[in-house]
Amino acid sequence: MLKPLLKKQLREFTAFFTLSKKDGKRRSPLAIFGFALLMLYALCAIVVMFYLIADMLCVPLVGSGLAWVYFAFLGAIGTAFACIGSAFGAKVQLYEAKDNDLLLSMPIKPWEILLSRMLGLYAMTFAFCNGVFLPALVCYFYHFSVQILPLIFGVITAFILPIGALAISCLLGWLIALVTSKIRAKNLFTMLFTIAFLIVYFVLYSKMNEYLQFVIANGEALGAKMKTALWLFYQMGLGITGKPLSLLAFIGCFIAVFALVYLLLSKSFLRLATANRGGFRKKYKAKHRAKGKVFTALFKRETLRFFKNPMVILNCSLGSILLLIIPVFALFNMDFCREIASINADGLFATILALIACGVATTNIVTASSVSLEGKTIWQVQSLPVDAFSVLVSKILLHLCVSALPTVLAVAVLCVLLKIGVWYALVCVLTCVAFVGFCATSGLLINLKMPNLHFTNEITAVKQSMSVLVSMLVNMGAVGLFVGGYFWFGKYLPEIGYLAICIAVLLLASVAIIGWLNKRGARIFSYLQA
Amino acid sequence: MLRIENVSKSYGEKKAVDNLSLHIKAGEIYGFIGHNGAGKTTTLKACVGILDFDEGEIFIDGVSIKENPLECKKKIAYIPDNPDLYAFMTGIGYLHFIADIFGVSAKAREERIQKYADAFSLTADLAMPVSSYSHGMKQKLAIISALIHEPKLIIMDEPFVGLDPSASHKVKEIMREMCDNGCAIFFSTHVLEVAEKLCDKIAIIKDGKLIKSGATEEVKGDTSLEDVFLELAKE
Repeated sequence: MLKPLLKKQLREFTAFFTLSKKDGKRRSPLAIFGFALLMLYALCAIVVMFYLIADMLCVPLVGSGLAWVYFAFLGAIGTAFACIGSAFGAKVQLYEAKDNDLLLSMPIKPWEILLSRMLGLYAMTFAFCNGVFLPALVCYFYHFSVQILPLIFGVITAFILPIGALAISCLLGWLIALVTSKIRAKNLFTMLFTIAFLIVYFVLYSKMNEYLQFVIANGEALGAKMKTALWLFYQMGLGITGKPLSLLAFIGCFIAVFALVYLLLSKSFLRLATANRGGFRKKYKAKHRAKGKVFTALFKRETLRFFKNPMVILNCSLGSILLLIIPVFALFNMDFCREIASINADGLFATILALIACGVATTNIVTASSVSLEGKTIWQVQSLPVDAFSVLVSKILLHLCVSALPTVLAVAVLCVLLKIGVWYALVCVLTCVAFVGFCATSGLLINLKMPNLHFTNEITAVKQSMSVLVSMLVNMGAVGLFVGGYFWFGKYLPEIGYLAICIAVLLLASVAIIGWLNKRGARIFSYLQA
Repeated sequence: MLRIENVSKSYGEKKAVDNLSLHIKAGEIYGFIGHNGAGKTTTLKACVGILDFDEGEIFIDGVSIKENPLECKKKIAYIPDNPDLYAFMTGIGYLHFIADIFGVSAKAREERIQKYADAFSLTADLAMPVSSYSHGMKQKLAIISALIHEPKLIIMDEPFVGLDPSASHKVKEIMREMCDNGCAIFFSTHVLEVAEKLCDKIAIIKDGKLIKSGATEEVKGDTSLEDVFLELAKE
């Protein structure tokens, strides 16, 4: 029975490239090629990034006789990368697969379903793990010539390493499924996990060079610690460098870990895969509720939809999250702020600050996906006695709340920390608000022109949306013009004058778009068909 | 209450509705039947003002849906064939949202929510998110939301799909009660027995064209509505 299940997994994998997520139809050959090219680009970006890291470590470590530390360190990084990258995927694939009910209703043993899904996930962990490990192997052979035994052992490791990562990702997926099956705030849990992941990522990324220098300088001491703390990777490192027994120990242990995890998961698979995701019942108790205003109801509707899905929040307001982090980061770097504050160049710093804040705010795409997010429910506001323009305004207002408030807060705090004069600070804040207003209105216009109302998952409407892409490009283009304009006109105008002109231009553009939305946009919205 | 005058709508080459005219008076239950793809949903959507049509006019209580859609929509309640409701709201949140849009007073909405939610045995589930509702529960919630502002005209697309027998019976009772109080109901259905028993008038549409309409008794004559429909479908 395992064979047909594995075939199905393989078909699902190929369908990822050949079928459109938007409508489930087969992609055109050109679209498949384009999609494959995009995936290849993403893979190459990862490979190149890790090759550069490996390149920094390879010669110093291997040259000082610590080849096993080099492989063990990068193997551990590859495993960690695969675990973080696949944990949520493992949870979805194992416990939330759409065909779980169908397969469980057939005469198939649950352990076979679990095993087929875990083997399906192997492809994912293989890609993540080897995105790190293979560049490390290539880099090693590039610097120290190709030797037969390390090459064979290295290739074997490339296939075994993802098995350990697979075991850990499945364990993490199992833990997430277990926790989320028991808590009410599943969305909050997912969002907090993702934000924590983002913070860890940014911290690691910003300190990467520091860490690598530490590894190079303390390779021996690190190696000594790894021998006990990461014994499996120690064996792996020794194995690749030509010790078959160590390699066998590494292979045996990784397979044993996988088998143990599989046994553990198979015990609860049926219960978790069939857990009632509707979850907790809450009985209604009638309460008095005052009559609300129409626009308030529309705005509440937008707000509820936006904040209900953490992935929508993260994808549509990443800029706001970053803008809220920047002042905190500045508070921890007060010396730098004091240094800047001591320079008497308020106009220049106000312009740079406005530029940075606007640049970060370009990733806030609330309105650019707001029409698409109506999806199949669009008939409701269309059939209700509400002016379509009011619906559009409620979308713009949500964008301003989500994007303008954090922007103003971040810029105001930074202006205080950098001791920028009041008038410069005010113009800086106004520039950012005007820019956010432009992003809100232009995003809505673009989404009305390119809506995607046919989706099964809201994230598709955000992530795989042409309107979001175009909107971000337009926003970035506007920032580009802002920079270009400054270099062009900066010498003729004081900064405050230049920022005032930017405000005027952005406001004029926004007013023109609002005029369009009021007439043409409202009509388009009224007759959009899902 | 609803006057459709020579309405036509095309999707590219295909004429979905072809010069259709109907008149539904206050107090009437008007059934709209036809095979799949005959143009029923297109007509209903045009009546509600969510689908633009190419030719003709539609008047709700004497007001043109094209000229003054907001005035018309204040008098209408619409239930589509597949009620995709806001999954991010709770059942009660959704009803309050609709009541706020129609400006229903606090007292009136409390009374109506209690009356209809009790009638459809949905009261206990109103605090649950719509995303946790079954198809039938969503259909019931859509029906309650349609009744919450006491519309003058109710337009429904396949209202009985997914309803349990008692809810289906309750809908029929409420439809009759509403029409006795002066409301008009225009609905499409494939359940010909229901149409035969419930409707005062029936219209049959085929390939976008109205092929028969009138009082139920006139339309079916001495045979059953099913026989008439099958006969007309053959021609």
